[in-house]
Amino acid sequence: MEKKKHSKLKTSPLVNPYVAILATLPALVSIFVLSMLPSIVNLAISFTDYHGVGQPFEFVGFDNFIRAFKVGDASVSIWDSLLNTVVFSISVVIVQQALSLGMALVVARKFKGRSFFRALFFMPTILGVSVVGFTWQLVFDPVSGPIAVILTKLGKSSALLGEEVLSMFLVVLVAIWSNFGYAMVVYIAGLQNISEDIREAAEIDGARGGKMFWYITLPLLKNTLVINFWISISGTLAMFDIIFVLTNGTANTTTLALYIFQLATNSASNQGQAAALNIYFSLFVMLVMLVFNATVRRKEAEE
Amino acid sequence: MKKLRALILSVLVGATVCGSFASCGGPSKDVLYVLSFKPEYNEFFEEVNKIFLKENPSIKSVDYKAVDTNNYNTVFSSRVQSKYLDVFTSEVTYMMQGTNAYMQPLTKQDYMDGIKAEYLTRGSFYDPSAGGEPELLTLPLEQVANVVYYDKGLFAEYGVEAPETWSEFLAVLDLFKEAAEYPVVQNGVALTPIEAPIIFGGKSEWPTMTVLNSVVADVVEISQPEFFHSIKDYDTNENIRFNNAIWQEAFDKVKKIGDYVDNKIWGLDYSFASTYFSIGNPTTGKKYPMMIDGTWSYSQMEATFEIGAFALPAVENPVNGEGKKNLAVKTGTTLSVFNGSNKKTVAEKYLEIFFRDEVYQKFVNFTKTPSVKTTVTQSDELVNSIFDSAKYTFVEAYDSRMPRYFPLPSASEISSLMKGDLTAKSVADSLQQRVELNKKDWEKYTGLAHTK
Repeated sequence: MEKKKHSKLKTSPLVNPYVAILATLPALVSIFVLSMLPSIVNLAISFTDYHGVGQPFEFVGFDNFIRAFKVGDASVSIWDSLLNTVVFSISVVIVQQALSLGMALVVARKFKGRSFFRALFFMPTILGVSVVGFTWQLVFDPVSGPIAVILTKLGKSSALLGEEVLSMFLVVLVAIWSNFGYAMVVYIAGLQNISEDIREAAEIDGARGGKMFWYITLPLLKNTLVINFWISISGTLAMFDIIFVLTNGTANTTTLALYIFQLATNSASNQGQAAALNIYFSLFVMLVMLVFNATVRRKEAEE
Repeated sequence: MKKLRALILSVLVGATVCGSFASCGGPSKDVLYVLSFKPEYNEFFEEVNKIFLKENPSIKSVDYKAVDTNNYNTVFSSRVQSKYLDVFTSEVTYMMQGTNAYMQPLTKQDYMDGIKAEYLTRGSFYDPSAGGEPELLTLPLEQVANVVYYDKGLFAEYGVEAPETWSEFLAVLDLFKEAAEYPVVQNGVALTPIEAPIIFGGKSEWPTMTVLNSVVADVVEISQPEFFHSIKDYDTNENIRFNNAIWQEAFDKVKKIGDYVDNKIWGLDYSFASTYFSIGNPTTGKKYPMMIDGTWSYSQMEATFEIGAFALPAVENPVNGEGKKNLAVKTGTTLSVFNGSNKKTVAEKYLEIFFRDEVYQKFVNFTKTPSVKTTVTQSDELVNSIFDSAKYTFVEAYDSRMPRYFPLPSASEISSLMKGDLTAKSVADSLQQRVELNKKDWEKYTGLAHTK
């Protein structure tokens, strides 16, 4: 009987290597066309003085890589945008993870309306960036937005998104708001994987509240934490869209991704230089992720 | 069963390949793809689309897309690469970034004779690389100017007139700045309260370039009129530098205007500015007497007061060699046929429809811009007073007159300058440094931006 089953499995189209290749083909082709190919083209462009499709260009060697750090203007340099990227990423990652874990702990409990709150907190994640940007622009309108009205009644005024320091805080706030639902769902899944038996055993041993969280929940959520942090760090370092629609980099909110985009689309439109900076930027993100991975591995080894 | 499996696999592979390359077969032969950066003109374009479809039965539909200026470059590039493009709008700033490389030289047609010659001399309307007679690449639809709009009633109430000189302009700004701090009462009657002297979309930053354009049109064009024409002599003429005393004076004056800008403005999106100029601040009930902008926003204003406009005077004697004032202008929108289009002839018919007298008259009325045609007139008094050649010499706006790929001060720099975060010298030095750094890119286009 077992033999028959085995032979049936062997002839199943699911184990046919050609089927396996064909089944993975859509993903492979997509990754190649949408990710690998643009990276290869970007690398090629970085060695030229390319300005756009159909325009004549020449090979310039490593010129763009050498000039890459000199191309900023008086208001924003590459170092300013690097600092902004670091501030933005650290703020978003830490607050977003703490908030989404806290929310997950709340909505993972059994109470009336739990599903409603889960859906409510997840909702910003499915909104389009332009919708999020436009909505918050109305909220932050410094003349007649709701915050401006309150400030005026208090005898104060502020440019809000046009105010340095404050604008970065507001952009961070919107970035957290629009994405924390995703991390929350991942944490809920992680919490549901923690066996009730372990909790009960811990409770019998006297673990409650903070102790339960610190000594039982958090260590058992380690893998989920690593995944969420990994996604969040890589995502925020390269985040472009939300900053683009909210401030377009004004009031000292230009991050590296936005800086490179602006370099490619300004009047000088030097896409070769932008491509070279893109490579430096990719290396920077890669370095950060390698450090993160190494730290996680070291911690694992220590344990 | 085997056939079914093969069919499923074929569909899977086909879908993968098609999906990956965005579409099968490329742009359709019976669809005309039109791309515009003027969503505010949608209503008018839709009308042209209807006429076009009625007269061209070989085309089943017009795929018309309008995106805002922030995203236009990105969408335009993707359309160029995918070739889903037949007709597109452009403007001189885009031409600086090289869009004319995608323009199909237009076939000479009778209707083009009706376009006033002066409108074809601004920007790169002709292909400089073509041998013999230069070929026309694009047709201008409208001209725009950088101006200061003002509330005529409010000016009259405060007893001031449109300023003619730099010191008069500063006096008006001082008056309204003081009125914003200390409300004015005359003969026991409180005058209309003032929020701030000027409003513009500071958060969007690019409106600050209209301030710079206006200042340069006076300070540089009057003090060093040969400057822009001498860019081609850059290597030999030491006076053609962006950190010379004249340019520093221009940047200094831009900075000075920034002293009169209410801090809140730096958080205001451009799209809201003309509304607040029209209705005032709805929270405080106070008014903005002036707005710095281009004439492109005039058709969008719904003010209950009479609007006036003047060229920002940036020098004490703003009179040029012709005995007139300078007004910074540029070609706002042009219409072109994509040189990679698979239906160029029919696409040219789309352009021809635009320039029919009855159609173009509607465009001029709708957009409130001056007519580029001899046979069509603009009836709006304010537009005609702005584009009055007896009063003004129209000088090409600085941000649209430089050779292709020439570095400009960034809008972010000008905003920082106006906020007081940068000095005129640091902006001038930074610009000069970038001009040197990118010299290899722009020098080959020197002198070609104004071909013909």
